[in-house]
Amino acid sequence: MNCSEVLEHISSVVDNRLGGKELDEFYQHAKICRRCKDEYDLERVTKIFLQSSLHPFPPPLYLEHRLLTLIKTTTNSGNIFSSVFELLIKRWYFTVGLTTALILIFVWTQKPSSHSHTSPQDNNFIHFVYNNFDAVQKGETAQFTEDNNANGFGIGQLKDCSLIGTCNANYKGQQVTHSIYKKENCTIYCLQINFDSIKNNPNLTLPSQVLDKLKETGRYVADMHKCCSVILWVKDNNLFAAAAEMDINNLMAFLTDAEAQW
Amino acid sequence: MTLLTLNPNENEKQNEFKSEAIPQLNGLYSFARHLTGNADDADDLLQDTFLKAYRFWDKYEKGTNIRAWLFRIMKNSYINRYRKVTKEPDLIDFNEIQEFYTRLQDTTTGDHDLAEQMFGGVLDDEVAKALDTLHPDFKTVVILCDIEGYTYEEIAEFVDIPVGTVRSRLHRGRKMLQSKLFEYAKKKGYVK
Repeated sequence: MNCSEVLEHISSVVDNRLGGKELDEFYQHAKICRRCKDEYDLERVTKIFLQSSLHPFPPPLYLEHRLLTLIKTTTNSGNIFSSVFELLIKRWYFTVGLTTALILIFVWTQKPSSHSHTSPQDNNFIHFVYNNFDAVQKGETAQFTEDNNANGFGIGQLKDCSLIGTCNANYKGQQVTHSIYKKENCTIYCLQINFDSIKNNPNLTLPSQVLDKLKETGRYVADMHKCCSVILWVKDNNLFAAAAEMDINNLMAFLTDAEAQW
Repeated sequence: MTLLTLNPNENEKQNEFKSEAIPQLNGLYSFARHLTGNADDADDLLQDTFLKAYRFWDKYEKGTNIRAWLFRIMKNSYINRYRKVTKEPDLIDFNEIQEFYTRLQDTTTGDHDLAEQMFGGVLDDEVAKALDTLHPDFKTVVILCDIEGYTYEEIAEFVDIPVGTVRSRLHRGRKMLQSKLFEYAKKKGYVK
């Protein structure tokens, strides 16, 4: 055997796999070749050290049970669902992370929910405003954009808002002008009615304290719902109302330019 | 609640799998543990292996070597999932190791004593770390032969390579390990 043949067989000798004539030839060469002998000795020593340092690991007791459970799950729930299930139970931290992320995404992407302003269908003008605003919020706005003749809203353009549409309608025998404005994602619903027609109309009334406030200060802020604002004001014997899902100060800021009486 | 009932074929498959594959758990877990280097990844690798084996149970030829079949699935899963970008460890010049070994030979008797003198200061964790630096091809054969005690023929079947390749990979793998361990021993001051 020459050096390269010996090197080729070193592992076999270390692992006691070489015998007979080949083994004799191996040792004969090792006797006369220091380098080959050292290579052999060092590989043997390395194996011994490795074996003394690293040992087979017994599996944890839970593993067999977990495997059998996973296999049953795979059988019962089909491939896609089982893969997800496997992932979820194998990586609990993934599950917790995913759930947290979904909750956060849900919370962050939720804009303040549009709540109902539905009020009794009675003679109260403020209820009428709330119910109309509710309908506008639900998207019932077709008539506002279809009625091209209605341009009689007395307050003109609201500051920084775009006019979506205006319409005239008869309500309980009274002419009412409705308008919708938009400011970003927020809708502002406005209406106008002759003030005398309310003061003397049993079919369309305002509570006495509202009337008193209007007569006294020219305006009234309703606070029936926390998340939205309704304001009434009187100008030139017309009663105006504006409703929006925003803070009263913000709503008044939009109306300021339109209504110089503030 | 309605409990799901398995059809007879699925039931038979589960029973077969349970009696043939599950008993291989011990050997496969230990291999996975050494291959991945930690308990969590070993758990995952083992579960991946068994789930794949169960899904492809119809591909397993009954009566052939179940252990070899499972080892092959595990090795492929490991390579696909855990393969890191490894480069062969820088080898210390063999002359340096040989020189140190020659000096030791004069003062030590017996292989165990020699092994202790050569690498005695190296901790078990460091041995595992050194093993982890090997390319999976070399790591696999070293683990299977030196730690798990399989024969060359078994390893050849597990890994699906000729016996001659097992032998040469073992030689190269051990030599790389030897170099790495010697480097650790040197860093710790056991080798001067």
